[in-house]
Amino acid sequence: MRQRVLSVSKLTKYIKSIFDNDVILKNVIVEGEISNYKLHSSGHAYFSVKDDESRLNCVMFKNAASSSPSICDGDKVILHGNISVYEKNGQYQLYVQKCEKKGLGDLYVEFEKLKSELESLGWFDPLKKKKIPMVPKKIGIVTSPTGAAIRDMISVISRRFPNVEIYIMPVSVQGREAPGEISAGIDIFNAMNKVDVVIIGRGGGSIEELWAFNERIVAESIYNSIIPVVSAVGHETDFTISDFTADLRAPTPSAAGELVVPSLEELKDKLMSFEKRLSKDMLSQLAIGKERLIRLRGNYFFSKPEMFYSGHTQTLDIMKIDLERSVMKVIDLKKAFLEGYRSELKGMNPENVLKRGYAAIKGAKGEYIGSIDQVSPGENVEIVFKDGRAISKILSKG
Amino acid sequence: MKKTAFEDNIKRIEEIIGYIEGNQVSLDESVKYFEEGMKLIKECENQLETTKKKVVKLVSKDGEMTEEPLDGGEENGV
Repeated sequence: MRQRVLSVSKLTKYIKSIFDNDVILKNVIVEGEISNYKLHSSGHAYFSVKDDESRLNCVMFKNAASSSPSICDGDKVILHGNISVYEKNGQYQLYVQKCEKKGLGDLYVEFEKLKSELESLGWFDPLKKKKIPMVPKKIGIVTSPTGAAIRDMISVISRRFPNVEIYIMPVSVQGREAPGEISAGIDIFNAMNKVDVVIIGRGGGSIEELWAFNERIVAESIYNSIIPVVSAVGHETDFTISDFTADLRAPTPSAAGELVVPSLEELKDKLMSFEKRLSKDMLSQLAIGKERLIRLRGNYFFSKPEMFYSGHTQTLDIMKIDLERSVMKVIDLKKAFLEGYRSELKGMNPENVLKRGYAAIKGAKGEYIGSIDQVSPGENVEIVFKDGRAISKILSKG
Repeated sequence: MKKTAFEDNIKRIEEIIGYIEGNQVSLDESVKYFEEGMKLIKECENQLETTKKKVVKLVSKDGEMTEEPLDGGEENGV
């Protein structure tokens, strides 16, 4: 008798019924680490739970998911539920009824440990961060040559600044080889000394998939790089050690494109606006200069020069009056002196001597005679007394 | 260094505009600054045009890095 041929769906249904009726699988409690956690817009959560050797796909429907504590990749959890088969793809999975968090995952602990160690070494020091050049001409990118990340970066960079050279260092961005390759990529760019800036990164993924960027060897190469390094790993919410160590963190690979190159259009606009501003400023400076010139020309010094010295004329008048006044003063002073002299002179009048009882002799011409030489015998002289005069004759000279 | 020339030029242009707009320079100086600013703007514009677009992949061959065109293959995209 030939064996019965089953359709895929019939066989799958059969398998599913075995799972569903199994006493153990009907109600299991399983412990592991969350990975690839995705909350769908429907409210259902899809993820896997794993340990060192195995991985189990899980689905948590909206009801269970809404009452579950918030979980993310790397969390250690205890899950309650049943194992069944999803007929569409024939995969068995855990239908989670209840999820309990079991402390932080080992990876997270490792991450925190390295982070605080490097932080204490000063590797995240904002003062040590190198400046990304404003217009890099040559950009090095260390990433997978085939992912969406590289395509995003190239397209954003080319759109913003078409005239740029992009050098891609193809590396694995996940798996055992990744940390060494990424680190070597950064080192090679430094040895070549050709590019102005290096971007390292990859698209989004689970914490394990991003893990290479949390490795010390990668952080070391970033820290030692002479060329500024931009780290663009995963999504906006993913933070890696390489993000902290890099000179600049870009939330996503396409954001790295935005951050690393300026928009050529914007730069040209900026230069254009500089040119306009400068011309406008120059013109207004010239206008101000011209206005000053006009104002100067209209100044009364040029238009009514007499106005300029009329003030001085007045000063001159005042000075004249002052001068006259002081001359008069001098004259008055001199007059007073003169008066003094006059009274002094008065005291010296010979008549006053006569009044005291003396007599004077005057010659024929009326001159006073004060010397014997002025007279000769036989000559008539006049003797003047205080109260009259007498004519006398010189008889002899002794 | 040539690399930072563009930034330095932009900074200088902004400085110059500040001087002229601040009305702190004489007309003679303004003219000098204006000429310098215009020259720098031209220089910046030239700097923006000098590089040509290029996208290459670096591959190690016999210990030397050689450039290859990026083939845009799309296996296990990340």
